[in-house]
Amino acid sequence: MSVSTLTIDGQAVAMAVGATLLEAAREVGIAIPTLCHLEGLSPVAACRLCLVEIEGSGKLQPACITPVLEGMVVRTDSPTLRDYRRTVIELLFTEGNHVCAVCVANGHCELQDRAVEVGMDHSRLPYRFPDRAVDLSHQRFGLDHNRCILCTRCVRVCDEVEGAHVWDVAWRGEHCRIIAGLDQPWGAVDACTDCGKCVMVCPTGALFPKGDTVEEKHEDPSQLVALLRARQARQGAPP
Amino acid sequence: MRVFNPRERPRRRSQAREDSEKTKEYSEISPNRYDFLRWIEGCDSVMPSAPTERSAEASAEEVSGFEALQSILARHQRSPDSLIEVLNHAQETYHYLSDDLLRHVARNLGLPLSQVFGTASFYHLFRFQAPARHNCTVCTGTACSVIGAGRLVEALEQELGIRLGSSRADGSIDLGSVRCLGTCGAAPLVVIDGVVAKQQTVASVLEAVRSLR
Amino acid sequence: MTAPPAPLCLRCCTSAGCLASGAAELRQALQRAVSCLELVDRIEIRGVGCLGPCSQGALLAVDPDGALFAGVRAEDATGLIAALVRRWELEAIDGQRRPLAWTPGRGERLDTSRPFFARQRRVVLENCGLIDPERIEAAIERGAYDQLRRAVQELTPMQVVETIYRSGLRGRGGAGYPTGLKWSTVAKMPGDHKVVVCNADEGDPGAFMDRSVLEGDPHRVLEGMAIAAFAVGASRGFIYIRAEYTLAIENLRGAIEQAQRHRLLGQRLFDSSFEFTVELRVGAGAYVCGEETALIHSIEGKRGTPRPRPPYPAEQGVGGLPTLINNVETFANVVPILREGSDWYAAIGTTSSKGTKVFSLTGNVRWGGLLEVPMGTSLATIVQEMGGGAPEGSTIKAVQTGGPSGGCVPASELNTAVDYASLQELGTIMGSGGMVVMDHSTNMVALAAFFMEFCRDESCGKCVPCRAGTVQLHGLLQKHLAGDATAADLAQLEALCHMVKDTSLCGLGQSAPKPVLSTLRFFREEYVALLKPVAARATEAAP
Repeated sequence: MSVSTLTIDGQAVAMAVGATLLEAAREVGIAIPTLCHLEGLSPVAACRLCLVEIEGSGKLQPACITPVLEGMVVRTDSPTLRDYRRTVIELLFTEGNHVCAVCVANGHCELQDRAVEVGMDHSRLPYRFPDRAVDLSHQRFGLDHNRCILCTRCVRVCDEVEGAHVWDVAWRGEHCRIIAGLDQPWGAVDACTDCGKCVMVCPTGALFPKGDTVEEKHEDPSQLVALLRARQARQGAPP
Repeated sequence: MRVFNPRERPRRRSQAREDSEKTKEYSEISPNRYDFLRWIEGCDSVMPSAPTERSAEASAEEVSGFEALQSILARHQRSPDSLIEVLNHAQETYHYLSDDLLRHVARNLGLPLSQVFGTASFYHLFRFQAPARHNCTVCTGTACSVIGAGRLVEALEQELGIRLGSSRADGSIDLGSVRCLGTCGAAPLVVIDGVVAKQQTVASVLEAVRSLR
Repeated sequence: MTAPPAPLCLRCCTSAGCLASGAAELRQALQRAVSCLELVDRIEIRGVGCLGPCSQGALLAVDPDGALFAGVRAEDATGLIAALVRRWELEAIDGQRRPLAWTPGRGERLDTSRPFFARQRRVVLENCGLIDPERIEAAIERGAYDQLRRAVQELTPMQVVETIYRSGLRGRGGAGYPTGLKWSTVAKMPGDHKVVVCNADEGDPGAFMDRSVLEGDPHRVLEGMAIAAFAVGASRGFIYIRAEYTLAIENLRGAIEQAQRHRLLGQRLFDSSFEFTVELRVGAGAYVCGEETALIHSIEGKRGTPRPRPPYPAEQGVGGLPTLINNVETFANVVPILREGSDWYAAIGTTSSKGTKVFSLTGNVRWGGLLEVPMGTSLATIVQEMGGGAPEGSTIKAVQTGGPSGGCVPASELNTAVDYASLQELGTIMGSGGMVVMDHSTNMVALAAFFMEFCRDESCGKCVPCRAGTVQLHGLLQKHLAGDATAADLAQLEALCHMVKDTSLCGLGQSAPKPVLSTLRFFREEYVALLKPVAARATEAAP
C-alpha cells in the first residue's frame, strides 16, 4: 500500500493513499467538526463544517471527502475558518426551531455539541421561526421537522444500509424537507421495515423513539460502523 | 448495441408474488451505475444481478392505467434514468402528477416512491395539483424586471386577488412567474394560456386577463 | 416577360423573439399571398433563425437586395408582394435593376450599415438567419457535416483535439476553461464508452444566445458534438435543454431525426466504425442544472443537486462514464475552427481570449438583440455604439453581465475590452453572454436583492451556506430597502457574502453573493444612503 505524507496544523502524518483529510486529522488527534459526515455512509460534503485550508489552493476544501496528497500542507483552524464554522451553525439554528431545553436529544445532540465547540452562545443572524410539522404516524418513532438540519444521514442509511429507501429530500432550497414515500405520513409507508437505523444516525432530536422525553434520546450513531463490520464479516468480505 | 431492459432478467414468479405482499409500495431495483453499465456493455453477466422481484400485480396495472405512458416507457426501456423524461411526458398528457400517476411511474421504472416524489418536487415545472382553466405567467427575468415586470405582477395580483404563484379558489386562473423565456428583446413578457405577448403594459395585461373571465 | 427575374427570397425570422411579435402570422400571410398569385416557384418564403435586433421584431429580410425590415406585420404581406411584382414589371420593360421601394406600414427599413450590423463578426452565427433551420438540406448546402466527414475520414482524434487546443477556444458557458484541455482529458480516459453532453440549460435571466443558435442553426451544434465525440472517443451524446425553450426543442428534435435519416448521426458514419447517437433531455425548470454535476444528475433522472468535485465529469460523469460537457456556443465554434484552421481562429480576439463571443443585449438600450463580436471589443462599443445607448432621456448607469453569477460594470468602466480576464478584474464574469443595460433610474440595491432572490429560489438546498445563507442575505437586502438597516447590518451583509462565497459547495452558491459584492464595490453610496439616519441609530445600538 502506498503512503502519502502530509502536514496538518504543523504535525506530520503518513496516510494510505485514498484516505481523506478528515481521517488523517483524526489519526493525529486533531478534531475537525462534522455534521453530515458519518462513518459507514457515503459522504455528501453538504454541511461545510469540515472545510479546511490547503496551502496552494485558493478554495477551502471539505476534509470529509478530500483525499490526502503527498506534501499537502493543511490548516484546520484559523480565525476565518472559526468564523465560518460559527456562521454555519448559526445558519442551521436560525433555519429551524431548535429549542434545546425541551428537546429529546438535549445533551446528546451533535448540533448542540458543535455549537458549544464553535462558541456559538447566540446567533448574530435573525431567527426565521419556520412553520414546520411533526409526524407521529409511525408506531415506534417520531419525526420533528423543526429539529431537522437536512444532513440526509437518514436518507443515506435507509438507502445504503437498510436498502428500503423510505426517505428522500423533496422540494428545493429553503423549502427542502425530508419526506417518506410520496410525501406521506411515515406510518403509511409500507416500504419502512421499522428498523430504526434512521433514528440511530440522526444527529439531532428530529428522529426519535416515541416515548422518549426531554434529554432521553441516547442513540449512538457510531453503532452503525459496528453493524457494517459485522455484516462484512458474515459475508466473508475483507474488512 | 443491446438495450438494457430490467424486465428481461429472469424472474422467480412465485417469489415475486410473495414479495409483492410485503413491498407493494416500490420495487427494489435501485437506479445505479451498474444498471447503466450493463446496458451500455450489453452484457448481463458483468455485474451480479440486483434483486429484481417485481410485483406481479404491477404488470396488471401497467396495462390497465395510464396507457398513454406505455410508448414513452417502452422507448426508454423502463430505465430509471428516464424518470424526468417520463414525468415531463406524463404531465403533458395528464396535466399534472397525481399520486396514482407517480406510483405508476415509480413501479414501472423500479424506483422508490420517495425518490420519485423527491425528484419531481425538485423541478419547478412539475405540478401536483390539477391546473386552473387559464394560466397567466409573468416573466420575471432580469430584462423584464428592469423594464417593469414588477408593476405587471402588482396589477395582476390586485386584479385577481391572489398572490403570484397561486390559483384562484374558483379554479379559473393560475398566476405564475417564469425566470426568463430568453425572449428579452420583447420585454416585458406575459404568457397567457401558452401564448407569449410582448411589451406588455398594465393596461394590456389587465385587458387580456379580463377577457378570459 | 423578357429578362429572367433575379431569384427572390424573403427570410422571415421565426425565432422566439419575433414569434412574440407575430412572425408566424406574417410568414403565413406571405405564403398565402405568394400562392394566391401563383408565384411559389419565383418567390421563396423561408423561415430562418434570429436576424439580430430582436427588440425591433418582427424582422424580415429580402434577398438578393439584402434589405432588412423591422416591425413588419401580417397586413404588410400583400403590399410587399405587390411591390416586388411591380418591380419585376418595370425591370421587364427597360431591363434596369431597381432598389426595392417599399416600407412596412408601421415599421421601417433598417440601415444594415449601422454599427449594430457592421461591427459584428459572425462566426458562430454565420448561418443563423440565412438558412431554414427545419431543413437539413439547407444546412448541408452551406457545408454542414463536411467537417465531421473530413475529421472521420482524414484526421485522427488526436489531430482534432490538437486543432481545438491550438485555436485557444475557451468554454463559452461561463468559466472559460480551455476547451482543448477538457477534450484531451476526456480523450485520455481509458474505456470504450464515453459520453458527450451539450449544456443547453441556458438559465441566466437575460441571456438567449444558446436559444438563438439552437433555433437558427441546430445542425451546427450537432456537428460540433459529433466532432467532439470523434475526438474523445464517445459514442453517445445528450443535449440537456431547458423546457422553456419550446421552439429550440422542436427544431432540435427535427434536426436530430433528419441527421439520422441522412446517416450523419447513428452507426457506421461515413463508412467508418465511428458511431454517435444523440438524445435530447428536456429539463423541468431548475437553474442549478446548468452546473455540470447537477446536470449529470438531472440527465440520470435524479434531483439536480451538484456534488463535490473531484471526481470531475471527465473522469466520472453520466452513468459513471467519462463525460465531456460543453456549452452550445462552444460546440458551435468547432466547425469553423476545423474548416479555417486553428491559426485563423487564434488570430481573432485578445491574447487570453480567442475568437468571437455572442452576446444578448437587453434592458434599457435602444437596439437590443443578438450580436456577435470579436473578443476584446469594448463594452462601450457594444452598448453605446452598436446598441445605440440608452433610450431618449435616460443615461446608462451600469451594464450587468454574467447573470446572477456576475456583477455590474459601472458606466465609468465601459471602456473595458471584454474578455475573460478583464471582466474578472471588475468583479464580474463573462458568463454565458447575457448583457442587461441599466439606466440611471435603476436602484442597485434592489437589483442586488433581485438576483439574491433568484439565487435563493434556485438554490438546490443541499449545502447549508447556500440554502440558508441566501435567505439571510436576501433578508438583509430587504432590510436595507425598507430603510431599517444599520451600519452593523451592512457589515454583516458583507461578511455573510464572503462566507457564502467561500464555503458553498457549487458555483451557484459561490457566485450568489457576486451581484451584492459588485454593487457594493461600485455603488456603495446607495447602500449607505439607505441606512437609518445616525440619530435614530444611536438609540438602537447594534446587538
